[in-house]
Amino acid sequence: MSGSLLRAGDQEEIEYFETHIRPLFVEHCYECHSADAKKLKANLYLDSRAGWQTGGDSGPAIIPGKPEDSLLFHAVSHTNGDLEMPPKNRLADSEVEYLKSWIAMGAPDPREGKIKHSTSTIDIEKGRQFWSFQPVVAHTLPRVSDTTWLVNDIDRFILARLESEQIAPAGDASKTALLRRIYFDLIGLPPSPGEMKTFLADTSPDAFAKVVDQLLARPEFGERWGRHWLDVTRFAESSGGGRSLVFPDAWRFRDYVIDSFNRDKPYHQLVREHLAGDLLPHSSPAQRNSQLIGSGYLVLGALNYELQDHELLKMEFVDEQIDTVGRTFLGMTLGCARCHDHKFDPIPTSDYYALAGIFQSTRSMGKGSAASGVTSFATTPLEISNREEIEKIRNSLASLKDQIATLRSSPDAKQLPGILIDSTEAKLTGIWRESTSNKPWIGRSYLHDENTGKGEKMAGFTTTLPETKDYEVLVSYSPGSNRAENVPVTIHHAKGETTITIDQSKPAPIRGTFSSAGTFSFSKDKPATVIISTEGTTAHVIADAVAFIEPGTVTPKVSPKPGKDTAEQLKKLENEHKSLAAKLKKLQPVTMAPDEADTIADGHIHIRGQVRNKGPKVPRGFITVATQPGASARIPEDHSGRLELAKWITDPRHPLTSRVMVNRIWKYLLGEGIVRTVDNFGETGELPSHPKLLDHLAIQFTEDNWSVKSLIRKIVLSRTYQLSSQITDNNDPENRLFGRANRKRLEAEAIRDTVLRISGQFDPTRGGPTIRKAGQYDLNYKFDSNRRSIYVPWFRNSMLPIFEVFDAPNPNLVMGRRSTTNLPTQALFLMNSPFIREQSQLTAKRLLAGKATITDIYQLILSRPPSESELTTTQTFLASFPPDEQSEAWTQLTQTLFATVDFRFID
Amino acid sequence: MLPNRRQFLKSSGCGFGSLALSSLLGQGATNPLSPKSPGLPARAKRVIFLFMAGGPSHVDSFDYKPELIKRDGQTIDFVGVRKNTFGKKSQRKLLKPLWDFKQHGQSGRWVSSLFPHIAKHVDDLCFIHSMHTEGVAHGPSTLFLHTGATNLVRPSMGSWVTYGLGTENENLPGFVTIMPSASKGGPRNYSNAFLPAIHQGTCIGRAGLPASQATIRNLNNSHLALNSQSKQFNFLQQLNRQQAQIKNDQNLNAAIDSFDLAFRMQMNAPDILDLSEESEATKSMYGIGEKSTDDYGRQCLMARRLAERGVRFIQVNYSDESVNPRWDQHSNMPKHKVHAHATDQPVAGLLQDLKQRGLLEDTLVWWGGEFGRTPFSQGKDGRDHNPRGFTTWLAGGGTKPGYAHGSTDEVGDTAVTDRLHMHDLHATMLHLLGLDHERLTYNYAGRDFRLTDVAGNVEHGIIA
Repeated sequence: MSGSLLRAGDQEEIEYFETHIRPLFVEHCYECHSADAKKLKANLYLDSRAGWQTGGDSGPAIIPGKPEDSLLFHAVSHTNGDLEMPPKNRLADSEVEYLKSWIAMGAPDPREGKIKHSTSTIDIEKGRQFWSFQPVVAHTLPRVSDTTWLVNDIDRFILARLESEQIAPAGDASKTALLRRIYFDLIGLPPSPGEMKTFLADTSPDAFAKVVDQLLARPEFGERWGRHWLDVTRFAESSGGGRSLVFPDAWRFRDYVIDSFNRDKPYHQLVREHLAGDLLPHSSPAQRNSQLIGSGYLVLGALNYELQDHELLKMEFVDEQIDTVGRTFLGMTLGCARCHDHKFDPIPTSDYYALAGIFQSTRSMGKGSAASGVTSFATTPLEISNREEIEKIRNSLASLKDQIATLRSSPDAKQLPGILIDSTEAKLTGIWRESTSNKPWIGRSYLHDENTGKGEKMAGFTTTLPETKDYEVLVSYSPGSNRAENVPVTIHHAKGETTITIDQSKPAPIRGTFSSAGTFSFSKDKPATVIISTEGTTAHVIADAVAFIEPGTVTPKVSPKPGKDTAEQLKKLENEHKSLAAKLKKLQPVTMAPDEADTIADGHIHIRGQVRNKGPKVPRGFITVATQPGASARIPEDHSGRLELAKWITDPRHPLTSRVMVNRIWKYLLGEGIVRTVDNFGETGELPSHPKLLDHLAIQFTEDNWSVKSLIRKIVLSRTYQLSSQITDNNDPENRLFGRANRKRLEAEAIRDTVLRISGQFDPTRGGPTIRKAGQYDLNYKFDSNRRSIYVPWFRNSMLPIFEVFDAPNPNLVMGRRSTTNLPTQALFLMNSPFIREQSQLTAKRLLAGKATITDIYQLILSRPPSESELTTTQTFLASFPPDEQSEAWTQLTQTLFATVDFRFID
Repeated sequence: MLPNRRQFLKSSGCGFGSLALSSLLGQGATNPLSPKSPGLPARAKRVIFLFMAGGPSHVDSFDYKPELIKRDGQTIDFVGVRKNTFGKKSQRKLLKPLWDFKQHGQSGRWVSSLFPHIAKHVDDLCFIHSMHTEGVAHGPSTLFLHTGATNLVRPSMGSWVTYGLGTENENLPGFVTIMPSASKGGPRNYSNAFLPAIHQGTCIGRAGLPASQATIRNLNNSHLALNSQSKQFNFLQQLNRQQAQIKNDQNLNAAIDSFDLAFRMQMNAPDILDLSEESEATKSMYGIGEKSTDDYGRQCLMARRLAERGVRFIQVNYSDESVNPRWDQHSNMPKHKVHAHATDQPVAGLLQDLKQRGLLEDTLVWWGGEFGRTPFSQGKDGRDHNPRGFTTWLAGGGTKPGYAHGSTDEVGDTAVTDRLHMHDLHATMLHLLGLDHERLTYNYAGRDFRLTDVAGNVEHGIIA
């Protein structure tokens, strides 16, 4: 736009402005768009010429001379659903006209005056000074005075701080407490009384190390640590949102995660597979499949697949991915930068849209149903060895489908005494959609006009008739209440053309699909044409088939029902189709996975986060502040950039990736992170209590080839991990310095798994699909499994009650730190739920059958013998029941122990 | 004979003594549920939300459009909002209201014959005819109505309100939802999302079950008589105290306290949900005992009992578990009559009861669906969703009685004057509760969130 176009205007124009425009601005716009506004909206001033010329967040408000190109005009005429102004009352039509004329005359505006500019200034260099963006560096081990206390390097960092703060560490945990702790921490289950006995009897110095190594090698380890990782990857087996779609193949990702932790897959490999598993090189189909399943991470998020605004839906998906990736791997809250530069962290909006370009160039959704507008999730077939067999089944299925469709269509159509032209042979103008939603139809399907393009869309049926004589013309349609009542049908016959209308909302009188258009004479030398038009219709128009028959030979009375033979054959074919399709599904598994999009391109900045408000393009890229100068990777033109993003995140020099992961592991073992806000390493997160220890662990982690098991081993073998949880020094009430063990809560899964183990109801089956008899949505799912909790279907809108009550993570959010509440609903669950009562009954039965003692039940449930006072209290309680109610007494005792604090907490 | 709960309460001295509620969340010393002063002068202390799931038709009920009657059968241009038709123009046929409208009360507000009972209360109602909202399908719009977001995970309005105001009865949850549906977002519609868990809505029953069976999950112990349970409870707390004694850990004490609270809740809450002590006259005022109005009548009466006892946000759902929620008449508009009948007398009974008990003063009653319906027909006799313009009404809690705010265009399709977006309605209701919607924020994952996102204006025009 050239400045010379802007002018104050001549006398007459100024008069127009003063009469019609200024009052309008003052009355309707100044409240929010002037220097006097209480709160300026969208950074737009309309109280000076310069104001609208520069415009607000969305750019210039007026293009002089071009009302159609002017945002302001669109806003006031409500042509754009995202921007309707004034927000409360639409302007009168006359006022809109005044504005239009004024803009058309060049928007002459005598109002001088300058506007303030507020430009964003994010100082990336300054941002890099923040601790978490600083490179990870090796620190010399700190000096301590009491070196006898140390077991490994970790203890040096911990003790040095304690000594400098003059806080005495707690004593060592008892062997019983330690064994219960390590069992729950590593495998999520308690030691059996036998395992406890063995450990207590082993007095060798490496007794504990032996247990640790055994536990790390058990398959339950992956189930325990896989569950932690599922929290962080906001895993769920349904979409959440309005219609919460079930993800029937999400279990593959769950099993993949469990397997990855059991195999001790290097963490950087796991991250790469999550971000770009579909793009990584592979040397076997098994490897390809595993990597592909890993990339499901990107498409497992919570999304309202029902959103009808597809452009918005796509962008919401991208936002979810950016936000999740930021938190899972980097501990960064990137979502803030969607609408404006991050207010706290040095992340400009352009960084956000650099990442957005990567995910916009990724296919993350399936096609879904055109009819309901509900989109589907993205899946990719897994590599399989039996390609040929599948190809064969596919072909048979296609042929079966054709046969069924033909049979299902107006069943007697073939016996029509005349000439039939199906929609597959029609000459179409405009876009027609094929459908089989409403029965019946002729041939494979029928066509409809989508109720759009009225007047433009036409379907022509042409043939050459064998004789010159009269034919009756029949027009076929599938009736329905949303069909047009006045569909024009034009018949080109020997004597010219005739147009009649047919009512497609009414049932078709002949054989369920045909309506007669009348009898006309045709010549065998001239093509006979029937045109179905959409002109003047306001509902759906159907084009299915046209028939020319001997006049009067087919009467409306003939039944449209299929004959007995046809029905039987149809049933047979349908059964065959069903079983073959099921077979194919088994043979050809799919997994949820993204793919590169058809179009790979940089994305636009969306001003104020609004999808249709596009600003400049930004090249695909990463987060500037976390990139070391010179280290930026280039994204090739034909790559979405996911592969490059994965490499960038897993670069050992990345300041966040290794720190964030070692901090997560530390948190799961010690109860709190070194950075307590484990998902937030930004300005608004907490600072590390032991920054040097964090770096020390991060360096060891990357040097150990990102081995999670090695790091866990190192931490649990430290003296720090093995301290007692007893408070001995009141100077550090929050235990920020790890001078004692944090008392941890038993999570929902650990409570349930332990209860089922003790009652003998635990189903030890591992892996595989676990959703049974689910419909399309997770609504009211009936949970009926006694398998380990990680194998219980994990839905977004419907959860097993015990999970909900005991703080299972909200699977819509990345949760590295579950909340730990003491709500009365938990107490009600333990006191009154049928689940706890039933399991207690079963436990009591087992115990009584085995002639168990009070000590046995304490060993079994609390992994320790009763104290003296507990023993007395328990004896008194049992004695209060008559001898014939011992089974009830033991049931209540079991239930009570499940409700005690010593069961629910890990010392 | 076993003592009943009330006798038991007296004999065991299990009153509402000092409760260490502050310890319920484990960390931090302040009680998140203690009543808070809202900051602004409050006109309402609590909300009763009568949720009409599926989208009742405004042009057939409260939004009188003579032009629509006059132009019945005419075609109009309509720009599509659904995915298939997004932005495309098509022609639709206007369908006049199926029920006759009449003016009612001193205020002369128009109500159709769908709601004969509610019509008697128009002088207490504040109609908003210019509502508009986000989303076109039920899921997104229902989530938007409850949480101010169509897709992203956000706390429900009831959670925000208890977060802002606490609760006046520590033995009851602050936010309850009576017979919610599991569909259309389900639990997300009463979820605390990232707010502390104590602000989550507590369900009483669920959609699809009879209201006479509606209760809080695990509230009753079905396997033990009261005195047996009390013995077991004392045993448990004895063991707990022995275990916690030497450990001196406030988290353990909090867990023990939560058992005391749960036991008190178990003793008290069932009485509140038990309608048998209400008089026959009261019950029949709500339509209880009549087959068609029994369910919603019971729900409404339960709402009044909860309101009386200081529950902050009470949602009374008229919903079910189907893909097409109750008011969703894409075809067969005459079916609206069934739903109107099921809710009309119960809602009118609630209004009357609140009024005669002086509760309407400071109780904000909110009636509405996630959107309205189109003035043109879908198929032969249905109407499609309409988020562009619809009616909601409020009563009590400082709203203007007998008032009508804003309007849709002459046929009732789009809100045109004094338009009120759902964010504006949220902001205004918070304002009536004394809460500034721009300052009721919660810092999560690095930024402050609020119910109204970055939008919403308080509409002072509807405040008395």
